[in-house]
Amino acid sequence: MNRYAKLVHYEFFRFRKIYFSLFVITLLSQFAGLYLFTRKYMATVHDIMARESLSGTEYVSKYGLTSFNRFCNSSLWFMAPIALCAAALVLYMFLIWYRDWLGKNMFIYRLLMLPTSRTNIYMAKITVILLMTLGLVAFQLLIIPLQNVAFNALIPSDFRDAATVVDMIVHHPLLKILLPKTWIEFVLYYAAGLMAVIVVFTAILIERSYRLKGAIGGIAYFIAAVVVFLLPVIISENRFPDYLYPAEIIALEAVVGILISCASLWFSFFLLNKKVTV
Amino acid sequence: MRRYWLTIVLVPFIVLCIGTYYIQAESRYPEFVLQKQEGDEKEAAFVLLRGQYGENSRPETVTIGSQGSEYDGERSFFARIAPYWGSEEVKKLAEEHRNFMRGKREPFSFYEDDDLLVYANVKGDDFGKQLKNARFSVSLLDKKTGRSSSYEVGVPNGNLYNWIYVYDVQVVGDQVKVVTQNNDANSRSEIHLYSFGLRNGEAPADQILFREQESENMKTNIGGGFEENAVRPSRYIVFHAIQLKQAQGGQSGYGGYPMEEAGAQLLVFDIQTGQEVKIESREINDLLRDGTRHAFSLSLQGDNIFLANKSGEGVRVIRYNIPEAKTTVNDVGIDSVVHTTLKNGRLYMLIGKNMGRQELPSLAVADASTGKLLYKGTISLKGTEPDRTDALRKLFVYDLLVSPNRQ
Repeated sequence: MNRYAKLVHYEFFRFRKIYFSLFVITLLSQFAGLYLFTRKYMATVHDIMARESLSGTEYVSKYGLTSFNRFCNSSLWFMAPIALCAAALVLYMFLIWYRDWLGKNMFIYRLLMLPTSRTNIYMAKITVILLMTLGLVAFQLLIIPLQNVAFNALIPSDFRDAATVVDMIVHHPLLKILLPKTWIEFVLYYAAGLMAVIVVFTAILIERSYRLKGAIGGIAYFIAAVVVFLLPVIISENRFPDYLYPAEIIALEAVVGILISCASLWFSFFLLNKKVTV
Repeated sequence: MRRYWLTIVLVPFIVLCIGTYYIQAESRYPEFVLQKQEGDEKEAAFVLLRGQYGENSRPETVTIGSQGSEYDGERSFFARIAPYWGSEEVKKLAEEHRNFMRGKREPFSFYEDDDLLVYANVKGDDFGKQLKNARFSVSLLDKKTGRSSSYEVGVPNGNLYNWIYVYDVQVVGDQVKVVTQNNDANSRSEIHLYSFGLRNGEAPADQILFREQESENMKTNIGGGFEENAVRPSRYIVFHAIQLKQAQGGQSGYGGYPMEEAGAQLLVFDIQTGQEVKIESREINDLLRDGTRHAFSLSLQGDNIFLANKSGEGVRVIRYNIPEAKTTVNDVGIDSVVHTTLKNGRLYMLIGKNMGRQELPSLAVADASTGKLLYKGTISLKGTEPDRTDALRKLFVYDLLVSPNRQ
């Protein structure tokens, strides 16, 4: 357990520079976007008010109010960092393994020589991917209320509609996927994400075990996992439409998901212990 | 240990941020309640008002009753993914007979009495084009033994039609009776009464109850589904037929097509005999003569037909007893009625839209047979929410949901 924890820390530590720069980029980009959005909006408002000789309230009745929601939904400065962080983590899902094979003195030598069960290595890597994803999500949750406060400070209350954090997230195209409405859905979404990571890790290990054949095998494994996951629902809806109640479909998929994850984990450990060679 | 502070801090940080979010993500919207102003509270127990809250582009749908309100978006996960059953009666069947009801969503395809639950629907290939292999798919549930069976029987002359829609299923003696609306390849409508043996679909028979006239410039629109409770046994069935004819001078009228109304009728059939029952009521004929320009509610409850329409200073309720051919007319003096529903022998009225206006949405309930006002209630904010005075302004109520009154 201690070895595992140290490995988790090690994996986290070696990625910290890029990881924290993701935090910084998100923070800077979203606040910069906020500032630019509000400044441009107020400039437009004053411009139109001058040109059409409208008072504040007349402007509002003609053109409507703005809101924090509108900034979040429309600004690239807000949404791009979210997409960037997601892309970075997806990329690191692969690199977290492949970086160990880089260079002349491949780190994988030392890693595999450690007096620790190889499954600890695997579990540490997956733990880190999961924690880093959740860490970014938590960070985003932390700075959104701050942005809302800043927004309210920059735009006078006459021109904006009140917005709550929850309201914005629930209606946001990207954030409503990362932070679904209820905690039950949160658990389901992230469990599905975890299953996806497990399957990808298995595919990577297949490639590392069998090289060229493995690359094809890895891709095939991934596709097979997706098909097996979707098959029960596709069959049931085609042959017996509406036969299964939605709660039953969820339960069915959960069982299938757990089975796929367990099979993938078992296969990964097998490859790691027997087949991965340096 | 101190080296690892970064990693150690990460987990609590995550739990704190995400946990706090989900804990306080509970109630964000004001809670409304239907409050009694006069009358008997029990009358409002079966009614829910449906509305929208919020002025921005994404209003939240809310359901308000005498106990409080519930927003669609704030229902639990399992409530949100629950299947939609089409009517309260069918939903109750699904709760009582979970396995039998799998895959059976049609609201008019059921018949239930003390011993039996019957489901009958029409299936076919190429629905919407030339129907091939049209057949009744029938399932029976013996309520006493809990055993179920199913069979299929071909629809007599089914291939003459493009689609067949089941409007009622009844069981008379040892026969299943199915009332359908059939459309042929020229979009002409017919109403059919099919019969076949209950146990196994023996001797399927077909009887045409109504056939739309062939005509170059006339069209008849038929509407059905007016039974208060389509599941329980019923002797009669009611259809509403509107004749449309091509308007002179190509003026655009009803529904955007160059057609205008040339009359309307109620078609009442006795399912046991297959005979049409003529309606002898001056009041009903007067109402229908105006066509659908005066929107009205229509409901068949047992042996009675109820119609309600807005007139003058209130709502006029007409009750026509079919076997006795007797008409009773009552006027309920409530104005600003936006929507009426006839159910449970009551007339439910939704009063006053609310969109920036001063009036609050209200519910009034009257006895449909006597016209006597039984209940009046208004929507207000529940409990202590004094700083949400703008909340009522953002509420727009548009519909009534009435549950069956199990007496």
